[in-house]
Amino acid sequence: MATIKKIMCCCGSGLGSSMMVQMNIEKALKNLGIEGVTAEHTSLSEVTPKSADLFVVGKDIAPQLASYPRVVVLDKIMSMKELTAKLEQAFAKTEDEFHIQ
Amino acid sequence: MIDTILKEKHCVIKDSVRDWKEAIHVALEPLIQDGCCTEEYEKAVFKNTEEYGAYYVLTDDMALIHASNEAGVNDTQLAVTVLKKPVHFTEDGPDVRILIALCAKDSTSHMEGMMAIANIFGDDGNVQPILDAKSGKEIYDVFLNASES
Repeated sequence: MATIKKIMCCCGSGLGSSMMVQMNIEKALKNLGIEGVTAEHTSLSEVTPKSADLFVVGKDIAPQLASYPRVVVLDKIMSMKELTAKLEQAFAKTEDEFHIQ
Repeated sequence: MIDTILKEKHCVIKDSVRDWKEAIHVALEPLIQDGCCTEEYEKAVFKNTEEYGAYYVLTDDMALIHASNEAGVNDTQLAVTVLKKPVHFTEDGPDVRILIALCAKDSTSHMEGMMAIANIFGDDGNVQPILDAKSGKEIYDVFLNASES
């Protein structure tokens, strides 16, 4: 089963949506009762597949992370509901690699 | 508190813009005039748009106009422009009326602003008071309240 200890949010600039999603992830993890997981944000130019155990991005830049092992893709970058549902799915995965669209 | 990175004078209402390029220019204008960022930063937004598309359209109503913190940024500040007539950043894109310009000198100093934006534009948010605002002060107050809640 996939162990997720670090989540990286990523956007073009590393300032806007990535930080927004990082804050929402911290909130969502709390709501889901998941502890011991950190969330950070960065830019596309700095991210590498080794940066974290799970990557969360908006659908516009999802193609650029197509080769990454574990990715959550958000349709609506600001939606807590969508994020919470997709994070719950990610933490329930038994496969080692997955993309949640 | 958000009042260190958002000033009432940087909250403005404008009738309309010709196109998305003017929207970017108008959104950044208060920050450039005040020296928070330079025209270099505006150029970076246009360059990134060529590369990534309209990456700053975050909801159906709102665009968070920004580039990275590398070029032409002197201070961390926000500016909010509400358009009476919407603008489209892409042909099939949403009717955007709220332009939030952001320049940030590092990757964390704008967090208060992002929290307020997340509160206003999230699932249970409250966008209508901004769309209906009659003055810059009314826009400013929505952000102030969203920052406190």
